[in-house]
Amino acid sequence: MAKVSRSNVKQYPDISHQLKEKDDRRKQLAKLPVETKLRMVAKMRDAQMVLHAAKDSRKRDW
Amino acid sequence: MLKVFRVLNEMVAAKVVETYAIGGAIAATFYVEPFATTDVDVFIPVALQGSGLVSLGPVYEHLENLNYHPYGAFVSIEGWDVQFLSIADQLTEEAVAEAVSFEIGEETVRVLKAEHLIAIALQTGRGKDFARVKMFKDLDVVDWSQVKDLIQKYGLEVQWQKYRALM
Repeated sequence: MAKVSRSNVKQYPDISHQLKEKDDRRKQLAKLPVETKLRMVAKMRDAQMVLHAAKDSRKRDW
Repeated sequence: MLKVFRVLNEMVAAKVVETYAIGGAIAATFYVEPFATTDVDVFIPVALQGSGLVSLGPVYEHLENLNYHPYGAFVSIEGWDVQFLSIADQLTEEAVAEAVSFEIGEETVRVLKAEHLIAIALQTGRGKDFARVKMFKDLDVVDWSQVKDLIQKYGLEVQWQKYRALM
């Protein structure tokens, strides 16, 4: 049976700082005025529609 | 989106519907960070027909006259897929009655309270609904004592346990 020691346990990088940054960013976004947030949702929807249209045209090309 | 709110307010003014309240992802955006969605859920009170069925006929007819056409479960209004949902039970009835008004530009829009959104998400119980509940939890933007009351009042304890086990 293989021995488990510190040397053969894979070390993952500490990403707690990035996670905290992401969490802070989410909190900032949540506090934006509702009108701004709705505009951002609309932009995301537009981007999704462009992606779907591109996928559809690729399917047609095949 | 403002145009959708305007159309909804005009429906109330024209007495096509008594009232309405926005639910789902768009309502969640009022409380948490913005995220991608293409549809707008709108809860409306609908009277039972003689057959015992609910009919969204008058709503669809009004919108057709404005050149907003239904497709599948949605009506396309100013580029948004709007889904009209009839009040199905006491939870949604309470949620619509207690919806809050927000001033957005020149429009006032009625939106479900965060606590009701969570209760409805728990009741619906899909993965994406639980994920939405987690968004509210992460950002701590709700009164959890109110959520607990709703869970108890509407028998959502099993759903709450499912959520706790998954998230």
